[in-house]
Amino acid sequence: MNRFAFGLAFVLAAAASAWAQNQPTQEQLIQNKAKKLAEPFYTKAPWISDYDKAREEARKSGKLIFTYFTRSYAG
Amino acid sequence: MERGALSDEAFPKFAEKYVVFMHITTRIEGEKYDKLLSEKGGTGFPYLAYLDADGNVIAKHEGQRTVDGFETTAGKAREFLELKKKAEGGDKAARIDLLKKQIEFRHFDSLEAKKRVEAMADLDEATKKDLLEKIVALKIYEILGTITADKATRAAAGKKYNEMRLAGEIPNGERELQYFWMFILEYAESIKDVKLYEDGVKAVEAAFGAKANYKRWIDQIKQKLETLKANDREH
Repeated sequence: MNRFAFGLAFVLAAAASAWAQNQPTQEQLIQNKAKKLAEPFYTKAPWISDYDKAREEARKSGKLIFTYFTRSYAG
Repeated sequence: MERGALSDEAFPKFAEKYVVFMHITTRIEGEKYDKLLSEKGGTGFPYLAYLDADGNVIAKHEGQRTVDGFETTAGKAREFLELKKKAEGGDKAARIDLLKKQIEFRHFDSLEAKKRVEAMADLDEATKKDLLEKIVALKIYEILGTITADKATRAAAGKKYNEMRLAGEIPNGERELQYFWMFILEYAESIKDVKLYEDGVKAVEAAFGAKANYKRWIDQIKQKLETLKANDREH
């Protein structure tokens, strides 16, 4: 079985109460996002973090969009 | 990932050939596209996919997270675009394969997917069944995407999964079946429906009982069933 899927299922099951107790503030979430955008790897390639801009760039250039989905809320 | 393939010395060269887009799920209130991960078929991090200029997923990266691996998946993305061309040219097999991939990649919702399947009047029964099963999987994820930290949304999802069950829409993928029963069981517990809970436990045992890594979950729900039965007898 997909270990990740099973893990996710249990995370979903347990997350609600844990979230209520450990919710970061909006200010922290904004800081976390800024921190992510300052990661060294991000500066080494022409990354775009805006979905509209990425599609616009793909339309203009005819290139495919390589998408890396990540998160910043966990710090 | 970020210190691995994305920091590889070959990555900047790779990045010249594609639009490299990083989507961050932030949970910042009002953040545009914050739910893009689930909309594009992601269920966890990191998730890598190729999109076309309209934002449709055209290939999901499932192999090695290396620059070479990314190139292999880019090949699959190009194959998708070729398939689309063939389908638009009227090739029947390509039209069917394209629709399967579009459902899998969530290019439209389950209602639209169903309409498109119904519109393909010349489908044989086996192909139609296969497509409808993919739509059931799509519905599972649409409902899963409505769940938030609010407990009420979990029960609501379980209720919808139970409606699917009553309509005979049972997913056949392992992951989808797991979500399906997990939330039906939560729903049954929330409305104290012992019979539904018991049916769910039996179904989970039938589907996953032979797999050792499900033992803990099965033991937990069996124990809960006994508690529900005891509480039911008391009232």
